[in-house]
Amino acid sequence: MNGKIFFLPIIIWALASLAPIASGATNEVIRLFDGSILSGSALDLDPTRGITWSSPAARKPILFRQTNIASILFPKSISAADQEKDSVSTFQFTNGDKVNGGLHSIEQGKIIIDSEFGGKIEAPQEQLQGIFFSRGQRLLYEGPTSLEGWKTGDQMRAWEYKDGAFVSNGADILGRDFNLQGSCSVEFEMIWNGPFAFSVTLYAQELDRFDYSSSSYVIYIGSASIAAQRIQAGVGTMMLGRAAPSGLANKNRAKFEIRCNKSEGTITVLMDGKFVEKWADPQGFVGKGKGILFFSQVDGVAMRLQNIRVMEWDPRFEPDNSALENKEDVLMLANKDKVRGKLLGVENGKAAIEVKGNRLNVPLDRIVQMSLAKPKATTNDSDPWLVQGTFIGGEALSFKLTDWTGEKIEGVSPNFGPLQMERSKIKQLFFNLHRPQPAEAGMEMQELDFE
Amino acid sequence: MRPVFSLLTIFLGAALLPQVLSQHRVEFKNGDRLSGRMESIQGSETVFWIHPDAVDPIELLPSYLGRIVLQEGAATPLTPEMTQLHLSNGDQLFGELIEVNGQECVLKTPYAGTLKIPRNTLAGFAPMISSGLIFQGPTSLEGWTQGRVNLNPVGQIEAGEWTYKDQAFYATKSASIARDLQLPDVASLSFDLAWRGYFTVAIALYTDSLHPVALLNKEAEPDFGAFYSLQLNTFSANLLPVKKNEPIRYLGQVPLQGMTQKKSAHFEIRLNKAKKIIALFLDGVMVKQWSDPEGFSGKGTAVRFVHQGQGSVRLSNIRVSQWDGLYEEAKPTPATLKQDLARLRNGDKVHGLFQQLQDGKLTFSIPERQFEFPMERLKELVLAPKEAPPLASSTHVRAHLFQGGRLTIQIEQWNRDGVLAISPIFGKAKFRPDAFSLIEFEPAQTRNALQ
Repeated sequence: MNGKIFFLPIIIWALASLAPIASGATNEVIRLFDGSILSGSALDLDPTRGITWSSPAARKPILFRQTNIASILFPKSISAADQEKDSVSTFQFTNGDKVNGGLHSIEQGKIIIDSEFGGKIEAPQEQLQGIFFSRGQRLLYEGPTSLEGWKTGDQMRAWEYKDGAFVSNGADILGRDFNLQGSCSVEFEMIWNGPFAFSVTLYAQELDRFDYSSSSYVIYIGSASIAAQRIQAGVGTMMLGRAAPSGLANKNRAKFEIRCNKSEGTITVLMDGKFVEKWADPQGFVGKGKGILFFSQVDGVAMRLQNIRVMEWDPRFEPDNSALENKEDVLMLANKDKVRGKLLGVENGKAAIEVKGNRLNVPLDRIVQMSLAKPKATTNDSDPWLVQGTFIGGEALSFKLTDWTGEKIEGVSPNFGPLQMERSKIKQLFFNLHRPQPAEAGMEMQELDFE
Repeated sequence: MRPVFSLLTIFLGAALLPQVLSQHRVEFKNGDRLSGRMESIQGSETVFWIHPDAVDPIELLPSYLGRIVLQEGAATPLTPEMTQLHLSNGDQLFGELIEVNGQECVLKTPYAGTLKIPRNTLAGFAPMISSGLIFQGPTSLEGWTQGRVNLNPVGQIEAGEWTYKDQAFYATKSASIARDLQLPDVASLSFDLAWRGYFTVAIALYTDSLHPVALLNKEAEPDFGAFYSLQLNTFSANLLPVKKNEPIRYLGQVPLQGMTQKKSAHFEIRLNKAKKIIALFLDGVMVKQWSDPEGFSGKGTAVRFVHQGQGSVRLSNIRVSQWDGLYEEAKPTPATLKQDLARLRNGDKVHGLFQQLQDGKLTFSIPERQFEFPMERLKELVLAPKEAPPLASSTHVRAHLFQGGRLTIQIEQWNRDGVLAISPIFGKAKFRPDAFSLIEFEPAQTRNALQ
C-alpha cells in the first residue's frame, strides 16, 4: 500500500439495489481443513480468536479458530442486475484478483479502473497481468445454487445439489435451458474420484436425455483425453477431433472452459486456463437448441460440478488466455492482429506501446485484449486472515479481512487498499491462502452412497 | 434387570482410555459432517463434541444428527464360549449365555456386565463354538498386507491400494490386500461386496503369498505355492487352480444371474480340502460347486482379495469359520415357525417347545416327552414368535457393537466412564463406551424381527 493514492478512502463493494441476505441465514457453509463442513451462518469475526458460527444443529454459537478455516460458501443466484453487465472489461492481476469495470487510464505506474464496486480505483501497474475487453458479454448463469431449473435423467442416482455444487454418484444427465442464442462459453470446475467419462452437449434441444435427432455439439471429457463431436439432425455424427491435455490423466480436479464461436463455427476448450484445442466444424455451425446437457456416463465414480458459468459473447472479442503467458506485452486487436512490445501507458482512449524502438498509439476500441508480461504471484503469507473473495460475474479479490459484523465485511487489499463490501455480494471466501484447499467433501470413495 | 458392572470391566475401561480419545466423526442429516471426538451425551438433549478448531465443546442437538462414527474402539475378541443372541426387535448381542429360564435369559458380556433379558423377547441364539469363527472383520488395515497389482505390462492400469473405513475395505483402482486367515481344511469364507459400475475381483484361496500373482506372467513372479483363484465379476464366476510352472486350468465358469441389477451381494465360499470341493453361494443360494479332478491345489492358509481396477468396490463383513461340511436347508425365518426349532451341528433338527438352558443343557418339549441335549451340540436355535417386540421411539438410537451386534437404546448419559442407557427390552444397563463402533440416531421404527 505504500505510496498509493486512493480515489476513495474506502472502496465500498456493494450495489444498493441488491438486498443483503438477512442476518441469521443458515444457507452458508463453513469448511475446515480437516474436511469438516457445517451449514449455518457467520455471526462475527474476532481477529484474535476466530469466526463465530451459528448452526441450527448446535445449541450455542461455535467459535472456530481462524487457523484451520478453509472457506465459507455463500450460495446465491445471479440477479437481473448481474445479467445486464454486458459491456464490462475484466482486469486480471498477478495475485489472482479479477475486477470488472472500464479502463480509465494507465499512467505513471498506476492503472485506474472505473470499477463496478467502488467508482474509480487504482492499483500499481506492475500488479496488472491483463485486460480482457469483453464487449458484448452477457452472463446467463452462475451457480449452482440449487437444482431448480435443471432437469435430471430418470436414473435412480440422479445429480444432487449440495453446498454450491452438483454431485453425482452414478451415471446421469443434468440439463438446463439457458436460452442460448449466439456464441457462448461455459465454464465449470469438475472434481472426480476415479476413471470417468463425461460429456457436455452444447445447444441441446432435449435436456433430460441424450438426443441424436437434433443438431448440437458434444464435448467428451475422459480421464486422459477430450474430444469434440458434431451431431447433425438427419445426417449423423462426426468427430471434429481429439486432444490429450498434458496432465489430465494425473488430475482429480480441473477447471474447464468451452467456448463456442457461432460465426466461425469453432469450439475451443481450455483446461485450468490453458488452451487445449480449437476445433472447426467444416460445415459451419449447426447447433439448434438452447440448452446445455452435462452427462456423467460412468457408474462408480463420484463427480462434482461447481462454479458453473454460462455466458454469451460477441465472437469478435474471443479472449486468448495463452497470451497471458507471453514474455512481452501483447495487444490483441479485433482484426486478430497482435502487437508485441512494451506497454508505455493508456490515456485519452489510446494505448501507447513501444515496438522495436518505435512508439505506436492504438485506439482502445480496436483492442480486444491487453496482456502484460508478468509472472503469476504466489503468496507465502501465512496470515489466516488473508482471504480471497469470489463474486458473481467471476470477480475475485484477495484482501486481509479486518472486520466482519453483520452484513458488512471490511479488509485491506494489497492492490486496492482498504475496502468494504456487503456479505450479500460474496459467493465464497477462501482463508489460509498459503494452504491447498482440502479435498471436496463427498469425493472420497467411502462417501459414495453404498447401501 | 440391573447388570452387574464388575470391577474388572471398570479397570478395562480405564485402561482403554487413550482409544476412547481417538478420532470420531459426526454426520448430520443434511450431509454436513464434523471430525473430532464425541465427549459425552446428556440424555436425548445434547451431544457434546470436541473439535480441535473449536474453542469450546460444541453442543449438538441430536435431532439434527444422522450418525456418529466411532472409528477406533476396543473390539472384544469373540471366544468359543460366547453366544450370539437374537432379540425380537432385531437387536443382536454377544456374550456368555449363562442360562435361559421361563422368565429371562442371563447373558454375561464383556461390554455391559451381566444382562438379564426377558425370555419373551428372545428370538433365538447360536453358540459361537458351533460357528467355528476364526476371523471376523475388517476392523483396520493392521494385519493385512497390501500388494502392488501389475495387471498390464505397459502399466496402462493405474495401481492403487485398498483403504479402510468404518469396518470396510474400499478400492477404486486395482489393488490387492491379503492376510493369513488360517483357513482350515473345511472352511467357510463369507463377505459382503458392494460395487459401483462393473467390477472384477479375484480371490486367492489357500495361498501362501500375501502379494498378488500376475497370472499371465506367473512364471516370472517370485516363487509361490499353489492356490485357487476365484474370479468374480458382474456377470460370472470362474475358478482356476494356479500352480507355478504348470498351465492354468479352468474348472468352469458359472453365470451370476441378476448381478447387473444389484449393487451389493453376500458371497460365501465353502471349502473342503479332503473332498476337493469349492462351492460358491450368492445371497444364500449355491450357484456352483466345483470339484478339482486333479486333487486339491491350495498350499497355504491365506486369502487375498484383488480388485482388478474396474469400478469401485467395498468389501466388508469378512468371516472365516470352520465348516461342518454340511449343506443346510434355507434358514427359516422366525415368522414362518409355528414351533421352536433347534438345528444341531450334526444336521439334525428338533421341532418343539424350547423350555430352558440350564447348566449347559437345553431342554425341549416334544410331543409326549422331553428332550435334553448339551449346548455344544447346538448350531442354532430359532424361537417361534411369542409377542410383538417393543417399538423404538425417536429418542432411541441404534448403537452398533464392534463385534457386529447392535442395540436399540435410549442413552441417558454417555461419557468416558461409561454409557448409561435404557433398552426397551432389558431396561437400564451400563456399557463400556469403547464397545461401540457406530451410533445411528432416530433409527427407522424397529421392525418386528419375527416378521
